Amino acid sequence: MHIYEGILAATPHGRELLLAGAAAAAVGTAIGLRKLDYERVPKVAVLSAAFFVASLIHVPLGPTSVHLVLSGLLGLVLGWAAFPAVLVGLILQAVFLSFGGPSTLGINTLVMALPAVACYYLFHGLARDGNEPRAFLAGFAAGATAIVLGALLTAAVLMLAGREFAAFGPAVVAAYLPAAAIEGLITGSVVVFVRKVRPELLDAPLLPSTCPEVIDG
Amino acid sequence: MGSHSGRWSVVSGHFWSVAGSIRGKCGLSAVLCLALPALAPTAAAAHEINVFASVEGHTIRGKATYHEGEPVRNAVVKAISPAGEEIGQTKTDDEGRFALDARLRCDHRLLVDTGDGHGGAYTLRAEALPKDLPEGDAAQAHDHAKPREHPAAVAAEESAHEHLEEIHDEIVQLREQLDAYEHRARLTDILGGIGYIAGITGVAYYYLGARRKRAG
Repeated sequence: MHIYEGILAATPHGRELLLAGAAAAAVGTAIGLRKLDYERVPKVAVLSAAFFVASLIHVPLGPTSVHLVLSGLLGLVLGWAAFPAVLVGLILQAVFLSFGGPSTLGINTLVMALPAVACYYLFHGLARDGNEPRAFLAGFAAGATAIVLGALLTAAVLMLAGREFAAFGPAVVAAYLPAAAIEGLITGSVVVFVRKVRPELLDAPLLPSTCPEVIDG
Repeated sequence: MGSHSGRWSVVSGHFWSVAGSIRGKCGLSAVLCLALPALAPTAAAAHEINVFASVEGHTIRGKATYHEGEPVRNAVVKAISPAGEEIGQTKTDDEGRFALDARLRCDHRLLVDTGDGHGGAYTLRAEALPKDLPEGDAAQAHDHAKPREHPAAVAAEESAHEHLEEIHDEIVQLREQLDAYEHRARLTDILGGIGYIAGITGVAYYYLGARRKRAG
């Protein structure tokens, strides 16, 4: 999902986009930090660490390989605080793993954190539902939606950057559809697990540890 | 990025020592010294995809891999001149390999793009390309800085050509291995990153705690 270093800096529109992305990411991070209180710091740290590591786990899939992004999960649990979590994760990925780099930090933060915040507003309510399948569905939808939105943002950025990237746009979105499905399944499972073990992470009531069949019946 | 260029200088150090030991063994003269800059590692910006290329005759051959060594299949490879013009395009095969005919003797910036926002780049220096190609804009600057070759050295270069090709292949393999090693995400990197997150958490607590004290 990273827009890699150097590709946008090559065109004038790309440079404008890098600046705009950095500005937007700074605003998002400021809002996230403002909303961050004492009790939520560990949540942000844990999810930032999860985000940092998740990108290393590649799942081979047909001709390509996909990796987890976890932006949907970050959004559901953190809301606006997903911005600082993603920013920290990306800085460390750039320093230690040479994913991305200093100039693309802002735009990459935006591409991953903005869908996360959107998922918070879209699915946070459903994720707190007392019905287990519905909680799973909320997690699945958040995970998948965050990836699709991220891919759309990436495609839009590449298209706006101009000429030679325009053709990549639709391919970017298509390439991320299987990743979105996997991400959805993982996020759904994590949401159900968290609801049964530590529901306060999602500010939600405890989900009884029973089989789905029992609830259905 | 600073730490990264540091790593590269370490690698180039390795290469020079490797090159030096090969030179000692084969007893090849100054010819090899002239030929070796072509093999010296160039500034390859590392990304999610590792790109590596070398020259064989008039063909640029290269390979693109992901961090885990998985080949990058069916990705577009573009060669960009120092002036920013596209001077060639091809695609990677099932093994992540690609080949491209060099038409200009200038720095080739090879961009590999999988189409889903993943990509990588590698810069092949003009010196690595054969001298009979028309010069591109950036190549001239390098050439002026380089001392002219003696005719005897040119003759020796031809006779040593076969040796050179073998050594070239070996060095290419070594470079591929080193490149893969250098770009592999290491456990220490991951633990270091998580350590930083713990540290940042501590700093966040410090400031939030100070704010709370003032408020309370």
